[in-house]
Amino acid sequence: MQTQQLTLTPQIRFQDFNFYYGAFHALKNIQLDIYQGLVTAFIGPSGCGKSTLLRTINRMYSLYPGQRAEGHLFIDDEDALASDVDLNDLRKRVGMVFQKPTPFPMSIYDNIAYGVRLHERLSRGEMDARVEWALKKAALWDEVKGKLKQEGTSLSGGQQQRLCIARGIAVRPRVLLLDEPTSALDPISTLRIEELISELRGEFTIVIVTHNMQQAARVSDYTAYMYLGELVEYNKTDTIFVKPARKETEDYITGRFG
Amino acid sequence: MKSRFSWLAWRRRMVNYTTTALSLLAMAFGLFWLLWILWTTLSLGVSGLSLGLFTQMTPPPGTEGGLANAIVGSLLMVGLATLIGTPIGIFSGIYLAEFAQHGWLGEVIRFMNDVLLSAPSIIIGLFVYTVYVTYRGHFSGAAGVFALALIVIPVVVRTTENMLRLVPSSLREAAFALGAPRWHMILYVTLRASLAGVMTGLLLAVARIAGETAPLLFTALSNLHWSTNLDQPMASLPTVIFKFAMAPFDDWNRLAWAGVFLIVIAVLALNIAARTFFGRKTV
Amino acid sequence: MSSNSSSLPSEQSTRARRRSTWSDVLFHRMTQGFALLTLLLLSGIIISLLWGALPAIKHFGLSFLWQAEWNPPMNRFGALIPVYGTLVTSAVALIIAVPVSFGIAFFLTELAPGWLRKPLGIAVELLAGIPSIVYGMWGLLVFVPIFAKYIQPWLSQTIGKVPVIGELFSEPPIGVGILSAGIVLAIMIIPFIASVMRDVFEITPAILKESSYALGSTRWEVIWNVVLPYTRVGVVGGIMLGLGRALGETMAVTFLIGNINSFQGFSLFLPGNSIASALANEFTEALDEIHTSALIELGLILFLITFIVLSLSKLLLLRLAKSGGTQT
Repeated sequence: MQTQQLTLTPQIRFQDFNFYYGAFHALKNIQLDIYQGLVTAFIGPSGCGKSTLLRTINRMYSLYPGQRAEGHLFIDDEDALASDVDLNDLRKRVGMVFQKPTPFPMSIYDNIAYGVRLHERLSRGEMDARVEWALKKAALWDEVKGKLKQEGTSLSGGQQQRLCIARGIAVRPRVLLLDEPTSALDPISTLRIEELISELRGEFTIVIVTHNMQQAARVSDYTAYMYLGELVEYNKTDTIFVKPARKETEDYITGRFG
Repeated sequence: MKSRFSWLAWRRRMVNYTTTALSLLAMAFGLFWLLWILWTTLSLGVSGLSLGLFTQMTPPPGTEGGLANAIVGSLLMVGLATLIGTPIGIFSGIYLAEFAQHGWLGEVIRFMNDVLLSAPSIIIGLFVYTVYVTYRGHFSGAAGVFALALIVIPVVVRTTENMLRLVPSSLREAAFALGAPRWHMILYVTLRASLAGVMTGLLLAVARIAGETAPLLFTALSNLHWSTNLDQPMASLPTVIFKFAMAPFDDWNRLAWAGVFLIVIAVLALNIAARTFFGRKTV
Repeated sequence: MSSNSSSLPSEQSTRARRRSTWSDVLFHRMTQGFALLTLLLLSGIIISLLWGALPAIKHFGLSFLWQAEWNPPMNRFGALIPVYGTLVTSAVALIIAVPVSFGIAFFLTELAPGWLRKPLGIAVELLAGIPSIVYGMWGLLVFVPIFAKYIQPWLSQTIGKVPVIGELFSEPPIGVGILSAGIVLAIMIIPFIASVMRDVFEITPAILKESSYALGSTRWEVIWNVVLPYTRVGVVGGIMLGLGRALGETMAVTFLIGNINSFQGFSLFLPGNSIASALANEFTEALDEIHTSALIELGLILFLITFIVLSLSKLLLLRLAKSGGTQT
């Protein structure tokens, strides 16, 4: 976190971005640049729109009729909102991990290989190597290397979540979205996931939604504070937590509100 | 890298389009038969409708007639079977849900109930024939009522038990905490809380026996004449339709279509009533 | 939580307590009585079938199962033809109904726009409520003439030319027969299987599906690779339910199968007989005790077949409930 040698290249850019659930205006005029290789945290009280914002980045909302986005969202300078965007390809480039562990009903090996098989045709050996690489990246390899044929659901909650992270990075995305990834986990598992995030930093652009402010302070380089669908303040995490520019942010950070 | 694997992406997209198209086709296939059957029933059934349908008896071939005896026979047998089957089913369901959640007796009854629920209805007819019809020596409306009641009972047992189990235990504890005896708690709190669901199950059961033919063939048989005597063979819409549809006489076929129309309307009305009574599905 | 019954009586008078205990015991026994009555009736079915079938079982022994001759005037009976007809019509029905039902469930859960899902779902469920005699009569008077005139000749011209499989579509097109009975059975069980499949597809957690979409899956890949494995046990249970209905169905088959008690070949165009339709046609006309008894034994065989199917599907659903419990 301390190292700031990385040049700040904006990879995900929201411009005049608005989002609607039917008639409800959920995100209002968002302007936000998320930098390549860094960890960016979205914080704010429940219902502020932080998860909604996260789910626009891989267009998850397109699954649901009545949800729509307006404005601009550029990922690697490509217009991600354009109607001719290949969603499958977009989602290959933008991985996601959810609030609860979601192992698929198949073996640990197949859970990892599943996403890879969608996008690449690999030989047996290449696939084995890829699975091992992803599991090592997710710091799960040592725990599961002897039981890759077991069901993914046989793992503990924390292991399942790391399995999902491994599954996400196995397709080698450029961006990894984490939607409250530790909200269903115990403190020790939470700590391991946080360590993992720090290790993945630099290699992937990570965006994390969390309702745990300490977690945001621990793992992120940049923090965005949101309230009622608006982006209130966005800055380096240190600045946000030590010397916020806005009174609302300070109230939330210090626990006077929220 | 993108171009290297583009044929894979193309293949995936084609598979997705093909399966989507096939799925649409399947839906169209399913709806096609529904619309065709309903259209036939409506067009042929409505043309057979007349006042005589409800006032005249089933005729011999080649003469005018109606379905009055069959309609009344059906109403009588379905009504009596429901009246007999409902209390037996509800009390058995109460026993399973409130007194025998665990334990072998509950498990045995539950299992046997499922066996009966899935048994072919013609088997029920066979049973009633061997124990009742052979004992009396002749076919009778009562035997038909007996057979239909045996179809109602397992449906009601299953729905009652399921619905009672949905009642939160906090409600039971609240009633106990007021000092209510168990029977009072069950009849006035839990059963009342699940009444809508039980009624839905009952309506669906009635809809089912209204169209049942097989169990009546060896029990109530049929009757060309007016009869409300439960100790005599009794006509019913399904058995008359069966006989008239199989026969090579045009006027009988016309009456059969009118009968089918009446049954379809009644069954659909009961189904829709059951659904509006209680939003969710049961059974 | 369970302490309330022991702590409460101190607040009541002894008389009231005794009265309520008595009424409780009485109520308990009464409901138990009804439950036992249910049990008695059900066990009665099995016993009475066995009792009724006893003369035939004694007379023909086990060979009843594989004897193909069904000859009432000679009092020679074997179950092979009706058992064959029952199994083959159900197999034809399943081969058609399973993929179509899967397609319908896929459409209703993943593809249909929101405003269409509910009405179409209700339409499918209403189709399941239509009495089987309607399917039978429609099949005989409307479907069969069209089937014999257009579809059967076309089938003989196309698939009928293929070696081996062509045998199944080889005989002259007469309409009624095993194939048309199987097709109408399929139309009848599609709504059952489709609504079970839709229900189990819908219990798949949205977050699991989203996880698959998040990796870049297409809709088909989500349903085929994630939803179907997740719900496989429920899906098989639904298919078993449909199979149970097809095996025991009387009216739809009786109208359409042709009711011929002899084996003339493997062609699906040929008429045949099923257990349920043999019962429906012959039972009230059987004169000899041995004929009646043979028919009851047929009923017993049908009961056993559906019992096995039910037991298998119950076992599967039990496993679904268990794995569903560990999933969260």
